[in-house]
Amino acid sequence: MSQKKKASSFSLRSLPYDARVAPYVFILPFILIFGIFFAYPIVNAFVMSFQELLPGQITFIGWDNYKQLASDTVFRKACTNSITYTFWTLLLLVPCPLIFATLLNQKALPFRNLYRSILFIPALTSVVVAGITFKLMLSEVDTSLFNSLMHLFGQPSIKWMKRADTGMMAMVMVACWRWTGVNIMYYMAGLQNISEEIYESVDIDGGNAWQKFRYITVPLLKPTTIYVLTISIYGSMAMFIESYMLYEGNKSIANNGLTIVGYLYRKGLQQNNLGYGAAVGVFLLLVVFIVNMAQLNLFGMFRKEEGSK
Amino acid sequence: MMKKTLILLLCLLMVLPALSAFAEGPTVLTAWTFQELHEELFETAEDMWNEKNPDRQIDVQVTTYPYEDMHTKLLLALQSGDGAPDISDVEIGYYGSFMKGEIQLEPIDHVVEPQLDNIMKSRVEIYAGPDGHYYGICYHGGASMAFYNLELMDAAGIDPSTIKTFDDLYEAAKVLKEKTDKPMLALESGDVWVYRAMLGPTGGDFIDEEGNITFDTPENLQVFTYMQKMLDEGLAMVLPEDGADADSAKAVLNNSEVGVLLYPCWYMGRFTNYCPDLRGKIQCEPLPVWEEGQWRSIGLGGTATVITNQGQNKELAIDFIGFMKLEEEMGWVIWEKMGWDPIRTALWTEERFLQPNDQVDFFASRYGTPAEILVEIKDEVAGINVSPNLPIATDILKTSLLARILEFGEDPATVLAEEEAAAF
Amino acid sequence: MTKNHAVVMIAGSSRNRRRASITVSSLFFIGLSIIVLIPFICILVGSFQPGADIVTYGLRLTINPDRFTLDCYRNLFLGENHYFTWFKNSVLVTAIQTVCTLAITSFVAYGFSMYRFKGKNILFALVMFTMMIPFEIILLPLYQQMIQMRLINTYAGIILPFVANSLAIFFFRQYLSGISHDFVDAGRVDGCTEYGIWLRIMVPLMAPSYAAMGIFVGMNSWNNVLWPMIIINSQSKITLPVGLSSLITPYGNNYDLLIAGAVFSVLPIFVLYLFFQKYFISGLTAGGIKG
Repeated sequence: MSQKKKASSFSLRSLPYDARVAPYVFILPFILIFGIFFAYPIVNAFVMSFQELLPGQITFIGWDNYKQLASDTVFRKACTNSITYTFWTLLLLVPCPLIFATLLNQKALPFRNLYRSILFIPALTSVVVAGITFKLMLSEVDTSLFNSLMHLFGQPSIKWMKRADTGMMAMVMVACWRWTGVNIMYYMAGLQNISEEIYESVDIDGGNAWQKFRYITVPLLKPTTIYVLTISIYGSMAMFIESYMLYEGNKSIANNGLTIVGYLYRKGLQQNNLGYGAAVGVFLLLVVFIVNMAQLNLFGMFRKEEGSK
Repeated sequence: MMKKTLILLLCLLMVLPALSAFAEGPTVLTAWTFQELHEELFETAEDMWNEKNPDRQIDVQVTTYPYEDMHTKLLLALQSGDGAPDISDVEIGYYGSFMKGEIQLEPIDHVVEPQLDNIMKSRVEIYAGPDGHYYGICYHGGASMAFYNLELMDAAGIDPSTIKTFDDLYEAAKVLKEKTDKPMLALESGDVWVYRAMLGPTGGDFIDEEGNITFDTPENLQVFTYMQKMLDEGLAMVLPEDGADADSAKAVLNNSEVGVLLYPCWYMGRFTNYCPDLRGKIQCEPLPVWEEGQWRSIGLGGTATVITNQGQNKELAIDFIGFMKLEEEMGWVIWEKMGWDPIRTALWTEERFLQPNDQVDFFASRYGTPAEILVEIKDEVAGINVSPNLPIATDILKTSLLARILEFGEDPATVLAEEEAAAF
Repeated sequence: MTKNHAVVMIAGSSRNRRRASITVSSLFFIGLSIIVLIPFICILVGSFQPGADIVTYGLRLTINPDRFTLDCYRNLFLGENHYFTWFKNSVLVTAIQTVCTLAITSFVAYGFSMYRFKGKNILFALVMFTMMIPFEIILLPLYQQMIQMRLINTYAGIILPFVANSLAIFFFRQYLSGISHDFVDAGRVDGCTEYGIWLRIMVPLMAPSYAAMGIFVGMNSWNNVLWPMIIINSQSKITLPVGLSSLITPYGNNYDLLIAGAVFSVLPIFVLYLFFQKYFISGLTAGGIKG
């Protein structure tokens, strides 16, 4: 190797052999794409949020967009919806898959691969197909699946997508349907790294299944949980297309299905108010960033790094 | 030598497609719409245009997108300066968004102005820009009417031609409820037409002359209080989904579940196309009024057809939509084939207007045919106020205001005040 | 003696407990699987009635036998529609996006995992940072930028912003951290260039992880709706999910195509999954989320 280095010096031909230059070449595509399609637009989002952008006319309007945002009740509704949605998806999509994965990890369970595959299938369908299907199953006509279920229990039909609570339920349901299988996969991958011996040692100590779960599985799967939590927060706060499909567009009754991104889309693209939409985007950026930082901090991600230095 | 031949060859290659374009004949015009029925009209108009203009043959390629999707796409395309079609529909609820900043549409004054005396002026004036130019022409007058279901009226012994006021309607509704247990009045919680048709006779609006959003007015309160009273007493129903244009709502109407729909005239085409069981059972009448002497109709809805500034053949496109929307022969197509009231009101007074045709024959004529009713209300069709705020107001109505009052039974006065305060 | 006895006792009762646990788990997963499959059954069953019926009756587990028809599928395959144009476009976009993303992210991940260099930690923090930031936030500025870059209405415009998928970079780096540096040194001794080592030695070694990420990236690309919906504005370039979503409109009469098309759109990715399932799971497990 040292031989190579000597030969390299400043000749073009030996450049491909230069291990000092190589890492930068390797990460160059990331830097380029990151710069052009991520960093620059983010900076632009901040700039745009201080502007009024109309076709052919751009005016700097200072904090006006943010002031408007502060008193915008529809925006507040969108935030409430997104936060409620995030709350429910986190509540259902983090612990349940963890438990399911643990159960599926029992070697003696017959057909466990089949179950795992079936639970994963919904993830393969697009939001569009999932949305169409759930929307039609939740149709307010008497013959739809959910209303015929209601009749089975002697209850009257429900206008599912017109009520706030059942509308939220529909959105959460689509999310759970599509993502439970994926999160199970993540947890099962994590479980493969926990050795049998640890569990056996608990067996010998007379520990029961709950204790194994509580004192071994959960703590050892913490990295996976943190990962699942992070992407779930990301996905839930930015949810839009689910609502777009369930409500046949970005126009739910009483704004029950309006999310933050839905509002960004409505103001920015549908009402041609790009600056205001950008302000909504900046707000979302800050919220997601803060929530994720708090979450990672809570789980001691940063402490660990400091300690290892 | 070699080089020269090559250059020559290259030039030839570049010129050839241009030449062939000359030779090819019909000019392609792309058009976007969100409404299948409009696509039909485009096709008819294309045939008729080609017959009349052998030297200016066209080939109109229409694409139908979903309502929201099409408008968003068009806004995006106009903003990006690329990807817009030659011709596009823009629904009134979205029109204001296109009037912001530098307008990316082509003025069409020279086809509109010569026709102003023959047409319902309000149907082009609502599409005039802040700069005074005309940018779009409507498909129809949109004069609103009351569509009574005669089967239900007969079952309850109600004569719809005697319902002149909303008080009459209330009394009739009680009779209908008692005799058939069916609600009288169809309401919408996700679309604005029934509400606007009821608001029309009051002379009120939710946009004032300056273009501001004004929900909190005595007229609006009167309408919503009435709606809520009817609902509370089981005399009205809220149509499924967004409103009358949803398929499930058309099914409700088709099954004779509700007594009357107050709606713009263009719903006639929906009845004939989507409600086969109602043949001969729908009686058109002027709108009920709140007080004697109020106007009995209001011109509603409507979709403008506009020309974008991105097309290669703007002049041709402008002439074509001028023809399609304003010429006499197309007016007859719109009335007789599509079942919409033509904006060319000059036709309304002609003998041919009162003649039976495929569309009109669908409707009952016991108390007058739809044409006779239209002629009767011709001078009572009120106009609406338009401003760039209209999309925002429409959005509030569709997504919040209507549902709060009609679905969740909130107090109208509170809701109107709150929504007006929150609108921007 | 007593000690041994106790161990046997514990083992015995734990065997019983385990058997009970297996039965309960089995019942539970059978129930869960059925619930998960219900939407598929509904839409499949629903596709054998006239399309207009799905809006009149909603979706349910049965249809009216008098209304049984294959019209939806007849319209899909024989009718005049754009469905297969959309389908072809989606296949194309998914293929290009998957290949490009895998190539670029594994290339970048190699740089991050096999070298020490100045700024590495900060740069990798950036990768992690992008993982946490929803794409939707930059929707509007990115759209404006696409106009300036003349990428509107192009497939490059759909694909480019996603080719440096940070999740994939993270994943590949994790996977590579399990591969010994000896391979790299051996490559250098053999006279490979730094990039040759990646191409000739690492790429083959990473095959299982390519399969896993391939499914992951392909799935995301195939199902991507929002961005293509915004950036593509000509009917001939629309992708499948966007096209399907455009069929839900009360102003058209396309429910036949919608429901049959929805069923048919699930098939290809489903078949792919069945084929690559093994790699997918092993890939996730091997490189997976070890923390």
